Amino acid sequence: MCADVILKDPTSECTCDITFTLDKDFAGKVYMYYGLTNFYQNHRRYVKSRDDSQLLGRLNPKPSSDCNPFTTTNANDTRAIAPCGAIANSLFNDEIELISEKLGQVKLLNTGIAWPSDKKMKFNNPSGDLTEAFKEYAKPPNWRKNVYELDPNNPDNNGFENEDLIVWMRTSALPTFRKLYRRVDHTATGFVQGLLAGNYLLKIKYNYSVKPFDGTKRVILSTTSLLGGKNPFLGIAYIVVGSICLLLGVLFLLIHIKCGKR
Amino acid sequence: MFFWRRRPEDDTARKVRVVVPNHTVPAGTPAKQHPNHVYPGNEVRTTKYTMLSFLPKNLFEQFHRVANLYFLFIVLLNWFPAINAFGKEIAMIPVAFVLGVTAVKDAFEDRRRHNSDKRINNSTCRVYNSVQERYVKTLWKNLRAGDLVHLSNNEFIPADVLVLRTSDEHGLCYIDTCNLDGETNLKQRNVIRGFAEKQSTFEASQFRSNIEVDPPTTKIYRFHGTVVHESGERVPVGTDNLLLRECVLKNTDFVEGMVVYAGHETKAMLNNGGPRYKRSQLERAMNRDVVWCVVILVVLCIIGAIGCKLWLASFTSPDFLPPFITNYYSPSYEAVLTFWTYVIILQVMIPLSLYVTIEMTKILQVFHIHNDPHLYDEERKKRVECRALNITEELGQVQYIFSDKTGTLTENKMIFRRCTIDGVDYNHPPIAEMQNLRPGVATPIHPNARLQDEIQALERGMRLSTDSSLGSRTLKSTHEQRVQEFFILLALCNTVVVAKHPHHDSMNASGVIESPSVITVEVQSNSSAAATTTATKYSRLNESRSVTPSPTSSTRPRLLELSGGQSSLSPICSSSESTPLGTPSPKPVRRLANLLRVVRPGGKHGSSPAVTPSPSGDKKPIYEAESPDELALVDAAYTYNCRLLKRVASTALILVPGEGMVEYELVQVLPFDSSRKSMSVVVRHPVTKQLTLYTKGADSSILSQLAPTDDPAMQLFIFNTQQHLNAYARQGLRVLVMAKRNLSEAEFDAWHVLHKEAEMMHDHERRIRESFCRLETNLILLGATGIEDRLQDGVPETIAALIEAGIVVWVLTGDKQETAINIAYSAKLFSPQMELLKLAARSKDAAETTITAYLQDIERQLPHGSNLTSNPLASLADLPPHYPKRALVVDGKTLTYILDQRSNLKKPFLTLTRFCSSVLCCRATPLQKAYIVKVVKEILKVRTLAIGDGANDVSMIQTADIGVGISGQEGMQAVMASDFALSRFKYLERFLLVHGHWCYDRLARMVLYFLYKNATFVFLIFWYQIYCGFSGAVMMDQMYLMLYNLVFTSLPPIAIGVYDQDAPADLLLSKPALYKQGRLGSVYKPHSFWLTMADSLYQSLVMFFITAAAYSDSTVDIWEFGTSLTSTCMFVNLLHVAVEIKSWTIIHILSMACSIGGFYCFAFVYNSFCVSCFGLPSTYWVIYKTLGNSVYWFTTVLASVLALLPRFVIKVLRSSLAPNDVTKSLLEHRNIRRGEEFLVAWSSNTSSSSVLR
Repeated sequence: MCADVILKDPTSECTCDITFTLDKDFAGKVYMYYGLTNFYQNHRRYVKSRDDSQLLGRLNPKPSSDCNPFTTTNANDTRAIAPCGAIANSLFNDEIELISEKLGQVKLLNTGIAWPSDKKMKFNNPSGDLTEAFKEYAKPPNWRKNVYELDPNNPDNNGFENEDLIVWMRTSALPTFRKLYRRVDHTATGFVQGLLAGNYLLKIKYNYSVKPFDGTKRVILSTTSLLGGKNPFLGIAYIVVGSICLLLGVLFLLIHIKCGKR
Repeated sequence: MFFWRRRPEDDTARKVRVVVPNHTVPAGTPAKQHPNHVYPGNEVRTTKYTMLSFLPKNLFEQFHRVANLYFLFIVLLNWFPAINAFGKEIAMIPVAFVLGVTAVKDAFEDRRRHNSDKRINNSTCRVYNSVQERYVKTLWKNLRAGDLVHLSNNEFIPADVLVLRTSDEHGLCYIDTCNLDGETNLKQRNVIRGFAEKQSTFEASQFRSNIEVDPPTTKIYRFHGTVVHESGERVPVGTDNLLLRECVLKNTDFVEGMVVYAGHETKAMLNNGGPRYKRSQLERAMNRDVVWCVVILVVLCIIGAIGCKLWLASFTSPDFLPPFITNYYSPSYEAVLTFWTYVIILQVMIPLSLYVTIEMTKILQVFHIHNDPHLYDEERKKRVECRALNITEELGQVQYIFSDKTGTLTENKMIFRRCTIDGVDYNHPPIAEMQNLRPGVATPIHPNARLQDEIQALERGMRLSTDSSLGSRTLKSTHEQRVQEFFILLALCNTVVVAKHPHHDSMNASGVIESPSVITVEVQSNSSAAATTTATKYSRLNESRSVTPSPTSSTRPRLLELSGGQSSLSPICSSSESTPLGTPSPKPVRRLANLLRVVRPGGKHGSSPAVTPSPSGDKKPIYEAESPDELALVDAAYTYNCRLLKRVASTALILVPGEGMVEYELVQVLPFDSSRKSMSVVVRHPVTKQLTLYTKGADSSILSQLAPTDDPAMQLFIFNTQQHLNAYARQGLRVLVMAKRNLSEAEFDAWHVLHKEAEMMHDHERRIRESFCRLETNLILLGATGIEDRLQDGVPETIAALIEAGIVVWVLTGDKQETAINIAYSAKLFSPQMELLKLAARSKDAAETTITAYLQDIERQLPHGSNLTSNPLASLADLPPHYPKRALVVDGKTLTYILDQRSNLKKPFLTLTRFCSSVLCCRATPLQKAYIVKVVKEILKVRTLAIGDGANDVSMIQTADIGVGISGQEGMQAVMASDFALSRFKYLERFLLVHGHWCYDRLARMVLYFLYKNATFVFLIFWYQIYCGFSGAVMMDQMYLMLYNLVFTSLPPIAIGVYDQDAPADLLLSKPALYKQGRLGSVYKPHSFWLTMADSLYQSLVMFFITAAAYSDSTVDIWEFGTSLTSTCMFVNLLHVAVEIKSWTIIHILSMACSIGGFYCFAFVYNSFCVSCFGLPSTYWVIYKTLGNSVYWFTTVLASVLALLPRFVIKVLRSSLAPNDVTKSLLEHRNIRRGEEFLVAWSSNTSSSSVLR
């Protein structure tokens, strides 16, 4: 199992293939999420462990102390980490590919997955050449790439402005959560209608260890509905509460008829 | 502070200070070398702060409160990096807010004090100026020790002044010390020894003696000093020579004197204590629950810390850490740190902003009570004055009322109604137009025809034997003689001061001596109509009015014009004339050339010089008496031509019918005191040289001192008089018995020697009293009088309503038992159905037996199984309703036995009173009054209200939980000591039944709501800990967290606290029983807190878990989740208010709209512009995302409905199945109204249909 391999040596390569079948077509826009369980992204110290000023592109050799202990790599190397802090350090870095049995590789878009406001206002790269700008800064200890290597193909999606980073930096509210990973490119031939029924293969480059927190990883493909993801809770709750209210209404009416005339 | 207060006293204790007359110091002496420069000036400052000291001193004071220290502690805690939960600046918002609001309030209050100081400091008086060699108008604040001042009648005394000269030839003057000690009788002061003889030649510039005085002390009536004349002669001076600041000069044209203490060294200022802080029952209950909040907080923090430890321990190995644990400490250490983090994040559990909110609410409540038009006294132009701001809700919880009688229940208009002389009763029926008379003023009476005949017979007798006055005496029958002596006594036996003409000071307000010619010129320029001398005076008065502002406006004399037909009536003016202290009046004084009359307002000193209109065309002197009773008696005597014409210290000139002018020598005056209950004079007849003691006093004290007699006629006379007395008392008249004693010179001399000795004794007050009693024995009865003091209007209704409201009413009076009982019946304190229990024991044992007997009787009526010994708290409510109600009458003597520490009768007595719906204490002394209140308050543990108007009620008012002063006739002292001041007793009904009821209900519900709101919010945060590893993370933005209580949800509680009405005013008035709700404290009970907590626990559970479930396994981030929960919580809180609100007004709606609107506005602005503010985690754009998500709307609606369902259901079920009293009567009230509307609609329908037909 890749999980154990990674646990032993975090730098080793391990790929994991999962096949699945879509019973019916996924009409409309299809999104790919990754889900983690038992990951406490809302832990008090974790939530704080970031430097918003640094993420705005204002690089400083001394990042905010909030990032401790992920401000500098270690005692010998006094270079500051960019992006600093525990959130950035724990960035989800599995690489997932989706291959359709019929149509081959499904083209997935890695942009448009973060909040536009975040991308525009909260995350900015330092001016000038990224490699140059980050020369004096170390990568977070858990990362395999430098921050300027996150998406070398698309300069708008690289560095701090990388949307995978931005999505991860928006810490989740509950320990079981999902985050938007990719959008299916519906302009490609065969995917205009959505994701058609058939057999698919998920090819996951396994980098991210969930063993330390007894968590699980999931990949979720979903179309959007009015209520976001598929969650039956609200529907059931409305039916139950509605029925209670109706019953009470009848009860009150009876009481009013019986006692209200006093 | 402690040090500098103490030290000067110690230093100066031995020293004697020397005050040098300032005019002897050459002008232009540098301030430093001035001999008096060490003494403070007359400027006073009662403010707490100055501009500079405000900030440090106010902060220092505020941090004395535990609550604020807690705040500070939280802020400091937040600075530890390992603990810190919030941004450092953000965490200071609450403390800054609370401190800021309180500081603004304090500054505002201080400013009021500053303004009143300024007004007082800028009052003027006339000070001798050595350069101009005359008196010059000077501001009070520029006055200093050593100045010579000139004061006119009715002028406020600016500092403690030693009298050097008065307008009186004997060097006397009078002051009214009401402002200082509340005593309304005038006190006499003399010029210093050796100056009385040279009154007319006194010249300010000639006075060059130094004065040695003690250092200032707080003791009002202790003053010692010495005047050191230039010749080296030393003259001792004492209290008798000192005029005290804040007193008013009376009955004297003017005085001149030297200032010895100024400003803060004056007795008045040294005795100026600060306001007392009272804490209400509700506040105490609330504080208890706040302590429970602390307990809940600690429990939550401990649970959180334990959870944190367990959660951390589940990640076993330190080198195998999950990525979200950043700093690894050992689980136990981390748990300790987290405990403190919890203290910070759950801090709102302790509702600190509640205290600020309560203060603001109470100020608004007080504002509305003050402005209630129904409590506005048209006649006196007075509103309710709320002097205490923090016990409004206590008004709704009163269980016992202690009321004074005279002046509180009654008008204090004394009307001479009946007298009995020599066993013959003379009635004086009431006069119809009495209604319009001012209180405190004696009323004209219709003379009794028979009595008038007898008097005329006396006069005829005099004419028959004009040549020999001695002969006339022998001619008279005993009856006529007694009638004559009776009236002589009325005219003589008093302390009435006679003034022929109003007091007039020839020096005007600017210190210029006016000559008559100047006046005439002024008259001509001022008023063409004014030709008479009276008008002259008025025109001058008119002018001088605008010169000097009065220090306190409440005492300003008012000019009234009475238009009447009798042009022959010469103007009668009160002493208010020619005072330079008149206030600038907005109304010009219009003049009627021939008829002018000055009437003093009933306000401040109404009782002490009172003015009597003349019954006939004669020029009647102006009588100024200590008490309205005395005035009524002197006036009655005057009506029967026994006229007091002149009275000085040693003689009194009386026109006696049958004898003519007689100048009696006043040998000795035995003044009134409340334990002797009598007052006497010893006079010597000018012709016969016969010494006679004339005594008037309470029947109990006089009748027992009558000389024993064997004469059957005399015995019949005494018997008849007693019969009449009882009849008078049954009519509710105040009775006084008149008696005399003929003394031989030897007898008197013997007594006088002993008396002089007694005066020298150490314990002289008691000894003098005993000495007086020795003289007032062996009396010969003359007769008795009955004076009516009518009930104020609305008193019976008010008392009936209060009793119906379940309040136990005690009336404490100095009156005779029969009088008191009678008034009690007419005031509806007692009803005919009531069983009257009387306690009038003459010994301790008798008192005990009576009380036990009554108690046993009551015990028999109690339901089986409960007896008084086993259930000491049994009360009226335990009695079966069909038994008659009881009322208790107890007299002063029995009270002394009961209240005696050794008697152990207090408990049984109070047990007895608990079964009585009203209690009447007669013949009670002021001290007993206060002691009763204290005993009832402490032993029965009830909330008490004391209401009174006179100085003798002050201690009672101060002892009670709520002190109410009637701003009536007997001076301001009661008002000064009170928490609330009403102008009439009848306003008490609305004040308690409506405002008290509302205030209690509002505040109780507001406090509960506040606790609920905070707890709900805290529980929400706590539930989140389950999902964040008990790490102390907060999902809400810190700004929301800090502002939620302070800003977003602060208005609706205030709306409830100030404007919510559980029932309309007219309903509360028509059903006084509804007062029970507050009296029994049924809105805020001990379990109310726990019910509220349970509700908030349930609501928070619903809100949190519905939101958590709806957002589970979604992409929601922590801030969106938090924003969603915040706004859900807000909706639930507001809907909760909506369920709680009992009367919807626009203010309620606005407060809610402002809350929710304010929240959204703030959220939009904050989330739109704040990318990275205050070093907080950025929540940029979160609100847009939240609102854009349909889950948010669905959860909000669902959570709101489900959260409020139980409270709503219970509320509906309770009000339709088992409504409480208020709801029940509210429903009836509405049904009746609807019925009326229906009737109206129906009748209009029928009429319209008939038209159609």
